[in-house]
Amino acid sequence: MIRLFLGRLFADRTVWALPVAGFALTSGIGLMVFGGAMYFYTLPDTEDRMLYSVYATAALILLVIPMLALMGSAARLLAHRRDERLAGLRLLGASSGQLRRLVLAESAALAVAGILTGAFLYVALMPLVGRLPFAGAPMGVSGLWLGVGLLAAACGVLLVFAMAAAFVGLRRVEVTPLGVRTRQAPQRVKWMRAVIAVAAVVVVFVLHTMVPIRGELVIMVVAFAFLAVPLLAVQLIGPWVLKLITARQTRRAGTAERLIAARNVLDSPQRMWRQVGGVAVAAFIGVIAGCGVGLISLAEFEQGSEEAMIFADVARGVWLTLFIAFLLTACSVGLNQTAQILDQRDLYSGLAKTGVTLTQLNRIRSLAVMRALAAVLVVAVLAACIVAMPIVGWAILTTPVSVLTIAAVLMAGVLLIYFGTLVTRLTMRAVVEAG
Amino acid sequence: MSSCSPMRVAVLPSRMADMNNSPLITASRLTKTYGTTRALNGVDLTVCAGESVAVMGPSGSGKTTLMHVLSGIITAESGTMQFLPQSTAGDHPVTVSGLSSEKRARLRRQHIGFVFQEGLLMPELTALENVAVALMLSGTPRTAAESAAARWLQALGLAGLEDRRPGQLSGGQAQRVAIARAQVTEPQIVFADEPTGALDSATSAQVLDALLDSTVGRGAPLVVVTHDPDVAARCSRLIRLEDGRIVHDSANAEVGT
Ligand SMILES: Nc1ncnc2c1ncn2[C@@H]1O[C@H](COP(=O)(O)OP(=O)(O)O)[C@@H](O)[C@H]1O
Ligand SMILES: [Mg+2]
Repeated sequence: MIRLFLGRLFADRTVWALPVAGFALTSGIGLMVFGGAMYFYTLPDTEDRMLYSVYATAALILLVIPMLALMGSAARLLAHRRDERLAGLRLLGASSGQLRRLVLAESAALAVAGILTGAFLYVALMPLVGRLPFAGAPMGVSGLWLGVGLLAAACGVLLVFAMAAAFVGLRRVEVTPLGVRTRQAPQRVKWMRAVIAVAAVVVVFVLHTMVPIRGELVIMVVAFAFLAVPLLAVQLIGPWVLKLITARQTRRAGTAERLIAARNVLDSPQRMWRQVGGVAVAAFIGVIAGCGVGLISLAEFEQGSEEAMIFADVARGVWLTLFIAFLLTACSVGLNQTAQILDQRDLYSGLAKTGVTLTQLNRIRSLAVMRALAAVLVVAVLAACIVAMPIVGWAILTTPVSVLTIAAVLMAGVLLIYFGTLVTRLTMRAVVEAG
Repeated sequence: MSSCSPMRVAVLPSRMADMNNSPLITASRLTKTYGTTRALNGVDLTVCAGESVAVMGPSGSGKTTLMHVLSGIITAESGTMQFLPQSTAGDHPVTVSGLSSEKRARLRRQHIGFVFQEGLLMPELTALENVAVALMLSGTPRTAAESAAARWLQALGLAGLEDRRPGQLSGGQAQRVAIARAQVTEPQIVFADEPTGALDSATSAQVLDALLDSTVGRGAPLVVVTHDPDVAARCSRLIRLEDGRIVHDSANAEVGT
């Protein structure tokens, strides 16, 4: 029975391709980030190491939420079209217990395939990423390499997360004698998500303690609490703010595309927040840290001094973290939007029949993402300017170049996410052409 | 060459004379193949203003394909398909088969209405917005589009349900919203592919009445694909397809069911 089910699973590309891609991207980027963090944790034992590990930890914590969001997307994609396949098995006479086991077997199979692909991506990209210089030298392949043991452990943790996310999805699927359908229980989902977020934070924390860190542990805990608590709060407030802004956009929408896009976001602000919310915190920190870096750069460093090196590293780290956050968001947008198009394929092909052009359909999807993203970014940047008014204001006055750099980096990130929406156009075209 | 009247002469001379009897669509020798399947195998058909044409036939006989070719969703491999817009002065016959897909899309958006089996309404939009969006997609400003949409919803007996989502409507109500969406652009012809296929028979009758009144009532022809003899019985003309050919075409009174 399990073999039959898994055979069917891999027979249809539209079923397995997206979840595997999602798990592969999460694992690939996740392993690389973890490898990078380990590079800093295992620097030769100097005073700098502590400084670097604090920065690396901060970056890790910042990236946990977009990473979890991407993992969650992959798990949701896995649930995508599961109902109809389960209903088929139900007709063949499978019991509820059997169906549950099948879903777990399926999740495990797809997650393992994705994680292995991700591990391969990580290994394949190490030479490229290893060229980034930190702490005075390029990190190098050896610097990024986790080692077989740690790599296996990290893959195991990823698998546990994937299965946990899949299990959350399973709880939403109701198996009745008549068939299988998706249960509508948004509150429960939210609650489970919070638990997963906390669990993730704990895991990150435990991973840190496994690594040889001595006196700096206390500093770590403080830094961790300092960052993590507001981050979690933002996750609760974000969807609500997005809802307010989108409700206004809905009222003011003058064109069909804008109206549909705004309604699409408003229908489930949480769903859109899961896709683009990750950049909120990244942009917030990016603005403050970017201005800080700009101000510090006003001080004249001695050429080649250790201070100059650390300063350059911090600047590079800030931009790198921001880039990874945007990259994760772009992946999440690409996957989620593709899944939404597939879920509504009848609607989109029907609209195309009535004469709505592919360009118009694509514009609806891009507008939904980009306007929500713009709302999130504007709020995050404004919040940063208010919270860190002295730093930002002083930076604008004294180093306009670094402020412009921040703006340019944010624009580049927006562009990256726009590319994420471009990927979905292939799916939209296929759906429309299939009629 | 086919004409507006069915192959066998119509028995409703007085009614036919009342109608604006000029052809709106003329198709000749249409063929369409999918792989080795001849979905359409030499179809000649003319549809005139004021007609309501029921298209029947076994599943797989090419009904949907015919509707798609007649409405310019797809093009036939051979044969010609002409659209002859009537209302506005200066409109001249358009050979649909020769248009680019962009131009065919514009033609559909502006001049042709569609109703599908499942309403295919956008779940996030209200009933009113679902209808208004059809006009807005062709550039009508939102306020004008929404008031036209409200008028059509009212005409179809949906006053008071403007702010409901499709999920909060019954099957028959949703289908009437879909009809309002098809009519709001005042298309010159409306195509419906099994519009009552998912409804019970009482609701079917109401929805079909709404569809007939709103289309033929404006003087525009309706082409409706159906398996339901009751639906076919209410149309003025009946066409039967088999294996991609028209095997029967008559004014309805002759056919019975
Ligand atoms: N996109 C397509 N690809 C391949 N075959 C098709 C396609 N559309 C229709 N067909 C085939 O053409 C024939 C007529 O289909 P259709 O027009 O949908 O019939 P009906 O609507 O009368 O049931 C059928 O044999 C069908 O399998
Ligand atoms: Mg059909």
